[in-house]
Amino acid sequence: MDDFGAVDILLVEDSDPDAEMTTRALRKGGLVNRLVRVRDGVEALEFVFRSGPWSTRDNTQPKLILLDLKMPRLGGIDVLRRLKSDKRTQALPVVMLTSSAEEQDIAESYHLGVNSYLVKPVEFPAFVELVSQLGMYWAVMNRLPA
Amino acid sequence: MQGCQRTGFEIFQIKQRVGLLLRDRPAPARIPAAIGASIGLAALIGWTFNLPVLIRVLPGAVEMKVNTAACVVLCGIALWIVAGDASPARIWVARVLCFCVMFIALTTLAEYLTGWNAGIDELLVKDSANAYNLFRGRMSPISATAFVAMAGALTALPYRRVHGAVTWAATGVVVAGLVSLLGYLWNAVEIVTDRFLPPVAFNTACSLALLGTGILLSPGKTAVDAAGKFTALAALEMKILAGFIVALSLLLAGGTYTYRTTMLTAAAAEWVAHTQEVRAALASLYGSLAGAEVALRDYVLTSEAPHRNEYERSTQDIQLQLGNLRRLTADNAEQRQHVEALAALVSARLAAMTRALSTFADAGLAAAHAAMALERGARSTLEVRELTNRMVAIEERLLAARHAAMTKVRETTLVSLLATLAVACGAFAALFRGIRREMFARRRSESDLRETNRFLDSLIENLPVMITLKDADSLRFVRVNRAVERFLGSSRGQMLGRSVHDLFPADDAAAIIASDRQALESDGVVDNPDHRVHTATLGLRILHTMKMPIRDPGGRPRYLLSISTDVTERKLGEQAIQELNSALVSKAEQLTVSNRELESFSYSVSHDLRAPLRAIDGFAQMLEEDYGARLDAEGMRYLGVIRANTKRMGALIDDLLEFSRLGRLPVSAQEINVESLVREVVAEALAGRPTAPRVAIGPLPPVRGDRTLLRQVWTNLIANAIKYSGKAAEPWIEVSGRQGAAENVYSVRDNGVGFNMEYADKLFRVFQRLHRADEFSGTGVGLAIVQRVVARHGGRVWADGKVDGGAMFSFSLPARVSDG
Repeated sequence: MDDFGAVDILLVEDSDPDAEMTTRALRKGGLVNRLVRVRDGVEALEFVFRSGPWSTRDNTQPKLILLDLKMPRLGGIDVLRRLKSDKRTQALPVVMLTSSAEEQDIAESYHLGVNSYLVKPVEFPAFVELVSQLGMYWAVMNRLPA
Repeated sequence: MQGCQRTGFEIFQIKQRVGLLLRDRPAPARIPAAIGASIGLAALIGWTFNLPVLIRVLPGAVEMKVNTAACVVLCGIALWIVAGDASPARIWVARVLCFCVMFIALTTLAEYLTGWNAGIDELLVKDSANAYNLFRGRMSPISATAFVAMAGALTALPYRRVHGAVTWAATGVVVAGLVSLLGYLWNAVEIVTDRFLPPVAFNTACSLALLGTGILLSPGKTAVDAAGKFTALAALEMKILAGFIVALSLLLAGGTYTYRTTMLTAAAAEWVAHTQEVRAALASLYGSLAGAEVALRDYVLTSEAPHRNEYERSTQDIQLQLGNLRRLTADNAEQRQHVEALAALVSARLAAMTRALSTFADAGLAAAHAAMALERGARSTLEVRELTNRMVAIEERLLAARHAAMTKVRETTLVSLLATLAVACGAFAALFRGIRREMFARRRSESDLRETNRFLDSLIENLPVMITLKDADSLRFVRVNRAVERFLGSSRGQMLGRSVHDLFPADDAAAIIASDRQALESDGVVDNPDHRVHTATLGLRILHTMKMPIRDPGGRPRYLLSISTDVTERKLGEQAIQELNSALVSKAEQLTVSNRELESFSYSVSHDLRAPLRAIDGFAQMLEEDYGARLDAEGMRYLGVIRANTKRMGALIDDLLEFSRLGRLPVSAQEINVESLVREVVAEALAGRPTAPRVAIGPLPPVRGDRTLLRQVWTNLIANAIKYSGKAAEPWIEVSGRQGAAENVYSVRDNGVGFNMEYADKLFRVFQRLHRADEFSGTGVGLAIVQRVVARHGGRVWADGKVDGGAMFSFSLPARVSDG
């Protein structure tokens, strides 16, 4: 998705199948059009802070960031920390979307200020259901600052 | 220690008694010192106030001179000081006094020897007129010598080396005093020295005797310095010495009596002989006179020359005999007078006879006859005889008197001897009793001491600690006990007199010596709880050693006492414990690390294993959704199998993770209301089920345990019960519990399909199932989880079942939960 315009959702996911499934589920609802997928934390931060290869993109922020935990180079926790500690990006909603149900990860994420934590179900239907509800909630029900 | 059943207090009492016996007695020497000094003082007072009785005591006796009195007083004071426990300052005072005495005495002796008059004799008081001494106011040389000896003895008293000389000097003084005293007491003329030397006064003699005895009795510093042993000996010694002095005095007295009596008897015999001699002399005089008369008569009658010769001879004889008589009676004034009278008579008679003879020679017989008749005036021979008889009578009277006197003396001597004997017997008896008592007391104290020593010895020997005593200066072993022998593996014969250098390797020995010296300098105990030594027999041993110095009464260290306990086992045990502890700590650390690794492992398992599963399932679904139309039934079936297995794998992973997690969770202990917990679990398990079995929950006793974990246990058991009774017509479940003393037992029973008891042991293993997956779902982890949790609580699980006859699963939980 080489969309350099406004982005609704930033999907940070290193696994290709997972990224494909998530994107498919989100698109299915028809609620989300503009989605950018990056492969790890470094790219995610580059995107948000418009540095590196993303330095030329629009000066807009995504409405939602879906963050995986275990990624090469820079993991989800560190991205979360960076985002929530920077005044410019503090308000960005970040939702963890990860296969880890470890208490430790959940606790740490919330401590760092994550907006929500979702565990990817193993079964695909449940996964699809979760993601569409996620999209519904965030894109439609939830109010975001301007 | 069988016979030695003494309490600590009794031992203390023994020590007290021994100590009392060995302690210094109040110096017995002070009594004679005091008496002697007071005699001297009395004499001085007598001189000052002119009281003769104080000066000479016995009437007509020699007086104690002023210098003598002064010396006696000074010596008495000096003896008093030295005899007691005197401080160095006081000792110096005594020395000054002795010096004064010495000065006076030596000066007096010099005066005697050199004839020089130093002017000290009448320095203070003018002597009395009838002094016995040629030199007015001068003390007897005996006294002077005695004072020199006494002053010297008193000065030398503290020095042990000259103790012998001191004793001799003092004895000399005593003898001088006693001899003079005896001379006075028995008037034994031959003994008193006044023939050769100026005599010693009676009170001086007493003082000398007393002071000399005092010096002998004075224990001197020797007894005080050395251990109390000397003082005890001194007390007994003094008693024996006193006894000897008494015996000597009595012997002297007895000897004096005997000597005197012998002398008197000899004198008396002499006197008898003397009297006989006088009588004989008188008789022969008379005979000679008569012979002269006869001769003269014969001559006159016969005119023969022999008769005249005879007459001449007789006349000469008479002169000789008169001379003899004079000599014999020289000592008696009365007799001398008589002899002179006799001589006069005899001379007159002789003169008359001579005249007659000459008349005869000249004028013839008739004229002689006439002349003799005229010589009536001359005393006749009768008168001579009368006088002679009178003289004899006097002699005999004297003899009788002397006999009587001698008899009297004999009687007195006998009485005195008997009295002396009696006194001697009494004194000896008293002395014997005293010595016997002393001996007995000493023997008793010795036996007490021996007893105490034996007890202490046995104590020292049998104590399981090692006790060594080393000499403080050479640090060589003086005493070791049995424990030391055992420890070093050598007998004490090989150890005594040796130093640690002979028994231990050089390094150990050097360390021991260093700590020994430290202990000797310190005031208290040097304590080394970790003293390592290498022994020949046992190798390296660790001792707990305590050292302390043992000081003599002067405060100097004499011995070093060392008490050691072999704490090798304990130390090694401690070391082992420490090592175990550190091993445990490192093990615990390892376990923690292990656990952490396990957690991260589970974490990665959960994350990394699930992701591909999701992809498999997802894409299978996507395949079905997007290309399902182009698949036939078989193709769809394949997809179904893929998806089903994916699901199963997910479930397996979840269960495995759960199992692992439960195994690692810390078991907290809290009071759990089991009944309410079970109701909760049952409600949860039955929620949403279309058909629910009948569940009966009996009374369940509460228990202590981890609520979360036990909840899981109940969940699994009840879920199983529900699951496996699902096929029954009327499924029911019964939950029951029983409280026991040590443990509670809980059971879940169902009337489901049960299981074959043959495979009961496999029930609780991970992933083990006794039923097929198509019959009943499940991964086979539930019971393994139950077993693990219950085991961590310290309980057991077991199961009973019958094929198609239901099953009962039970587990026990201990009344007290131990932290798994």
